[in-house]
Amino acid sequence: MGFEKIGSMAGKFLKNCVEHNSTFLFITSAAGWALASTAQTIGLAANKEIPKEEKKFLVPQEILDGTFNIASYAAISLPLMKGVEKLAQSKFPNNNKAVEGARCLAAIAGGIVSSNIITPVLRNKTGAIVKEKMESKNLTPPPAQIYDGKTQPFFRAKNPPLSIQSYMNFTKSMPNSGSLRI
Amino acid sequence: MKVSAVQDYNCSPNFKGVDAGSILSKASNINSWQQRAALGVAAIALQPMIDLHNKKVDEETRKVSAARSFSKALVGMTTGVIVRGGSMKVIEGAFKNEAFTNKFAKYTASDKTKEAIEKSKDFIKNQGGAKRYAAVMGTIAGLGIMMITNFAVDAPLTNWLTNKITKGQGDTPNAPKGDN
Repeated sequence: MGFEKIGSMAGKFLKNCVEHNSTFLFITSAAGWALASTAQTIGLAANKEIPKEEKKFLVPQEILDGTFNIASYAAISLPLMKGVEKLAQSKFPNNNKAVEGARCLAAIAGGIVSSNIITPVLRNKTGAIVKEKMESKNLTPPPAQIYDGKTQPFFRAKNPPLSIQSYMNFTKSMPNSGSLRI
Repeated sequence: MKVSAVQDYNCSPNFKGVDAGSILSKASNINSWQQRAALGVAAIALQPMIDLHNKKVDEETRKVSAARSFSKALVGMTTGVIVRGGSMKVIEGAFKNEAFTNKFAKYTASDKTKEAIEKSKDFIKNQGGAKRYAAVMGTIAGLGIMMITNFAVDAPLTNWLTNKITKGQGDTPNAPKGDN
């Protein structure tokens, strides 16, 4: 493939991104999340302090977390973007820019709701399932300073309160956990 | 002397009310650093509040978790905005180069006719196209850069800020050695 061909393809892609800014914002936001989750999964898989048997549970959980994060972002943002698009089209039938602007704002609103509310709840659920499965196989969940199932204090309804030390260990060991946005 | 109704003085004769259409039109040009800033501000406002109102954990943990959430949101937002915004600025600067702009206009033209290329050039030079293309390319470049800053900048800065805040509150959590 020649340089001209590559240049034309890249040019078309960039033009498309500029013309559909809301979709671009949505996709790059999700991509940032995917990249962060991938990095986190690789970090976990490469961690020599975690035994292989435990990684069999923790790595899939990390992948599931990332998938749920993106899925919840999409599940909220896409219908919201579609809804405001219809509303804006009815209010401003000849103003495509206004429609696109409404979609951009919806993409941002979807990100706020999913990353601040939905994601922590989902992460807590998957963390609890993995913990249960590990215990049923007589595997001890890793110590807090390595990995504690990413259960955030706010959602520890059935667990005893975390101590400061275990919380600090948890947060320090997971500086880039699933709530991370690139 | 006749006193006019109060509403006569409430607005200037030129005031025509809020134009939602034009506000939304402006929003169509929102770029990714602005999007990241909005998400960051929301996280700063919401997450520490959620942590502080968490009755499931003791008060000390509440304070530390709120400090942690605040630090993470603030640091993440700051690096995200700087990296994205910086990438966009650098790329926007490249459009000052005539040769670059001409080549770029050729590749982004709808077809290869001279007319289409001129139209593309006009969009870049006179209709804010340079800024918008820079926003797209800067965002993509920023995603790559942040794969590194995420670990190299965000993580240590978040820990440092959390420690500063919690120490300022009188709490002295024992950080594991070398974890800063």
